[in-house]
Amino acid sequence: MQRWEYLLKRLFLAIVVLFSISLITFFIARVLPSDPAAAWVGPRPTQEQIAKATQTLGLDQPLYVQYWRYLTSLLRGDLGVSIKSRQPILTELKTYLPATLELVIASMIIGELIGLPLGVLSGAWKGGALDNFSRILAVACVSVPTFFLGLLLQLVFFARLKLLPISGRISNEIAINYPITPITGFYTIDTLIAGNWPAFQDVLLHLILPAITLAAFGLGLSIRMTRASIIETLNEKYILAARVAGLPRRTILFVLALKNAIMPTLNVIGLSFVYSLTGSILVEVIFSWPGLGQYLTNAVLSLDFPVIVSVTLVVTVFYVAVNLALDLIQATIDPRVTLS
Amino acid sequence: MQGAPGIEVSPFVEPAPAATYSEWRLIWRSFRQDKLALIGLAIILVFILGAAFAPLLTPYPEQGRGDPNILEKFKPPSAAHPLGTDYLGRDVLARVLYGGRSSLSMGFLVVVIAVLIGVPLGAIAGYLGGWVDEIIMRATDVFMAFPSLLLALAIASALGAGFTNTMIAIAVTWWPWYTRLVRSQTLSLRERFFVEAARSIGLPGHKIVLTHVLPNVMTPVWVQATLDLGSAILISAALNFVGLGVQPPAADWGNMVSQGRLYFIDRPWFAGAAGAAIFLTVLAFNFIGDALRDAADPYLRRT
Amino acid sequence: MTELLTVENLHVVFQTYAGTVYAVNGMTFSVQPGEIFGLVGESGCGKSVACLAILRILPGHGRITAGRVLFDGHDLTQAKESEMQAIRGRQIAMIFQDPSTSLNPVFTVGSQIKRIIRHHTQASRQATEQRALELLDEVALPDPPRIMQAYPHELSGGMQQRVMIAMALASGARLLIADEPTTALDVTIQNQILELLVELRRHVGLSILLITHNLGVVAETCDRVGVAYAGQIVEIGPTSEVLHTMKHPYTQGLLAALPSAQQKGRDLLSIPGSVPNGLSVIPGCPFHPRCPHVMEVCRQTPPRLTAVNPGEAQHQVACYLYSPETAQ
Repeated sequence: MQRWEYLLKRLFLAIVVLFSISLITFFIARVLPSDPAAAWVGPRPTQEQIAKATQTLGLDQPLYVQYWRYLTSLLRGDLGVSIKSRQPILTELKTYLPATLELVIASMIIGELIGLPLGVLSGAWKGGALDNFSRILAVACVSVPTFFLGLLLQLVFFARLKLLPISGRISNEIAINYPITPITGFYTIDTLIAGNWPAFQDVLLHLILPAITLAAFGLGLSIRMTRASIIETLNEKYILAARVAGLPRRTILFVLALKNAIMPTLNVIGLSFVYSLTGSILVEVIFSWPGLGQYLTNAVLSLDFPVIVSVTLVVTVFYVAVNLALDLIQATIDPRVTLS
Repeated sequence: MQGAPGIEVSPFVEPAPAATYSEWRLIWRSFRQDKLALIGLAIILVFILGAAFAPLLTPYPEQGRGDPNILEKFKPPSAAHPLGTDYLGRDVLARVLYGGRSSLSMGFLVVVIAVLIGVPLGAIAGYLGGWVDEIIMRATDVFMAFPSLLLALAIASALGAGFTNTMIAIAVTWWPWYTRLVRSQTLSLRERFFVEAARSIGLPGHKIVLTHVLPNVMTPVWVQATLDLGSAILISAALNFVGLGVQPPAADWGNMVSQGRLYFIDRPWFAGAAGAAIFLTVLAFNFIGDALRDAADPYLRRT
Repeated sequence: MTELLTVENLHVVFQTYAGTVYAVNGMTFSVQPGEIFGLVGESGCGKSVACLAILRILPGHGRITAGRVLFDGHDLTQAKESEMQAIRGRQIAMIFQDPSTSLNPVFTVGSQIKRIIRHHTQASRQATEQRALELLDEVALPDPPRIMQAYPHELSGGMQQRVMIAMALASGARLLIADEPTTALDVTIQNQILELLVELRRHVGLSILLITHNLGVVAETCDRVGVAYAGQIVEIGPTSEVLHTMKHPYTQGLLAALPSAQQKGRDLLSIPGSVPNGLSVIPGCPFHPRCPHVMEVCRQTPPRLTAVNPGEAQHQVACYLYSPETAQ
C-alpha cells in the first residue's frame, strides 16, 4: 500500500513539474523576447509574416489564452515549424533524437563502466596509489571544457595517430556502398540487426571519440561521488559492527557497503545522464554529429527560435522522465525510501 | 532493578570552553595545508591580475580588444608573439588576457547574482514557512528540473546574445541551489535561542531575518559559492562557445575556441591557448573548492 | 585467578588538527571469566576508546602507544591483523550505544545474523537458519520467523538491541563488550536489556565488559567496577565496596551527583571544573585541578593504584589520601 502511495505521489509531482516546465518555456517563447512574433518568424520578417504569426500564435489575446493555446498544441504534439527548414519541428526531432541518444548512451556506458569501479576501489583504499591516480583523473575530467577536450582528441587520434575518423556518424563511402536501413535510428543497432558488418565497424569507429569526449565529465563525477559515498558508508557504525563481528574485509566492502552505496550511485548515473545530454550539445558541434545538439546550435546561430524552445522542452521532459525512473528504482531497492 | 537506570552522572558545572578561533580561521588553517589548493590560488591570482592589468602587460592592447592585423595572421608562437597570432593576425597572448576579463567576470557575476536572488528567497522561505515556503520551493523544483546549460541557452537566445543577457540567463538557472541551502539552514536556526529571543521582544520579521538569520547562514553560502565558481566559468565558456555571450570582435575564452576550432588541426595554438586558459582556471577553482569543502565540512554539517 | 582479559598500562593517542589528544593514559583493569565488569566514567574519559583499542578497531588517526592487552594470555596489541580477525566475533564481540545505526539498513535481520553464523561456523543453510531462529528466541524476541524477515527500521530500539546481542552470540564470543548498550533506550527497555545481559551471563557463561556513564546500571548489574577518569582507572573493586565505601574524591563526586531519596529537595552536589579535553597530559594526579582535597604531592607525581586495606587487595584506589607514603 505504502509503496503504491509513494509511486502515485511521485508520478503526480512529475506531472506538476512538467506543467510548470511548459509554463516556463511559454514564458521564454512568448514573453521574454521584445517582439515574440518576429522571433517566431525569424530575421528580417515581412509585415505580412508578422501579422500571420500574431494571428496563429494568438499574440493579440491575453496571456492565459495564449498559454492555453500553447499547451493544447504541445499536447497534440505540435511543436511549431522551424524557421530555417520550414519543416514541422517534431518531424525533425525524430531524425535527430536517436543520434543524440546513441551518443549519450555510449558515453554513459564508457563513463560509468570506468567511473563506478574506480570510485569504489579508490574509496575503499583511500590514500593509496590508485586513489591518487583516480582523484587526479576525476578533477581533470570535471575541469576540462568538453569542446576543448574534443578538439584535443581529434588532434591526437585523427591528425597525429590517424587511428579514428574526425567527425560524422559514418564515412561517405561506407554510407554509399553499405547503406543503413534505419529501424531504431541507432546506427550501431541498425547495422547489427541487418548484419551489415562493414558499416557496423565504421559506425563504431565514428562513435568512439565523441563518446569518450562526452563521457569525461560524467566519469569525473562518478569517480568523485562514488568514492565519497563509499568512504561515507565505510564510516558508518554498522560497518564497524561488521568488522567487530569478524566478517572479512571483502564481504564488508563488496556486499555490505556496496549495497548501501548503490543509492547514491543511482543519483550519480542520473546526474551523468543530464550532463551527457547537455554536454552533447557541445560535442556534436565539434564532431559534426547530426543530433539534437547540432540542431540546437545551428538554431542559435540562425536565430531559429521555435527550434531552440522546442529542443529545450523535449530534453527537459527526457530529464524529468529519467529522474522519475531513478526515483522509482531507488524505492524498490531501499526499504526506507517510501517512508520518508 | 528499580529506578536506578536513567539517572545520569554528569557532574559538569561549566560547559567545555568554546573554540577560540573563528570558523574562517579554522577553515583557513586546514586549507593552507593543502598544496594543490595553494597552487590553485596562485593560478587564479595570475589570471585575475593578467586580466586586470592587460593593457599594461601586452604591447598589442588594440588587438586584445579586437583590431585585426591580417598581415601577421597564423604566426606560430615566437619571441614577438609568445602564443602566436590568430586567424586575423591578432596576438594570442593579448587576446587571452583580454578574454579573461570577460570569462572571469562572467563567472564571478553569475555566482554573485545567483546568491543575491537565491539567499533572500531561501531565508524568507525558511523563516516564514507556510504557503510562501511552498511556492518558493516548488519554483526551485521547476528551475532545477531543467538542465541548466539548456535553460540558460534558451533564455539567452530569447533575450538576445551579449555579455549581460547571457550572464543573467545563467544566473536564473543557478539561484535555486542557494535558496535550498539557505532555507535548510534557516529552518534549523528558526528554533534557536537567539531567534526566539528576538521574536519575543517583538522585533519585526524582516529585521530578524536580516540581523539574526542571514549573518548566521552566510558561511556555508560563501563556501558553496566558491565551489561553484569553476562550474560557472565552464558554463559561461560553453555559452560563449555556441555564439551567445560576448560578440566578436571582443574576446572571450569560449568564443576564441569557437573561432579557432576550424583551424585547430593545423594551427592549434590560438584555440589551444584559450582552451587551456579555461581548463587551468576551472582546475584551479576545483582544487580550491575541494580543499575548502574538506576544511569547511564540519561547519557545513554542524546544523 | 585466571583473567580472561587483562588491560595493562594501555596508552592511546589521536592525531587531530587541534593537536595530539591523549585519550587513554595508562589504563589497567581485568575481566574474569563469567564476570560482568563495569567501566564507568563521564563521556570523554577514554572508556570507549579503550574498548576500540582492545579490538584494534581505532579510527585511522588513533594508535596504541604503550601497554598490553592480554586475552587468554595472548597480547592483542602485537597480534597480526589476520589473527585479530579470528578473535573479533569468535572470541570477543561488541555492541554499541545506538542499535539503529549499528544494523545495516538495507539487509533483513535474518540475512545479517545468518551471514555471521555462516562465516564463523560454516554450517549448512538449514542449520544456519535453525541457529538464527534459536538465537532470536534466546534474546527473547517474539515471533523469530517474522523478525528474520524484518528490516532494522521496522523494529523498535529495544528489539534492535536484542538483535545486536543475538548477533554477538551468533559468533560464539566468550567476551561481550557492551558500550553504553542502554543509553539510547527508554528506561523500561533499559531494564529489560540489562536483565537479558545478566541472564546470558548465567546461562551462556558469557563474560561482559559493560561500559556506562550510569552508576545505577553498574549497581544493578556489575560484579566489579572500575572508575575511569582522564584515561586512567582511579578506583577499582567489587561493586558493592566501591559504591558503599568509595574512596577516591572523584568517585565520591560522581555518587554525590546522583539524586537519591535522602537528597530529594536539595541541590545536586556537583564536581566543580570540567572534564579534561586530553590535549595535554595533566602532571601529577589527573583529577587534582578539580579535587577538593588537593595536596602538594598531587600536583607533582601521579598516584598509583594501591589496596585500600592491606587485607583487601581487591578494592584499589589511586589517591594519595590513602597511600602509605602520605598516610602518616
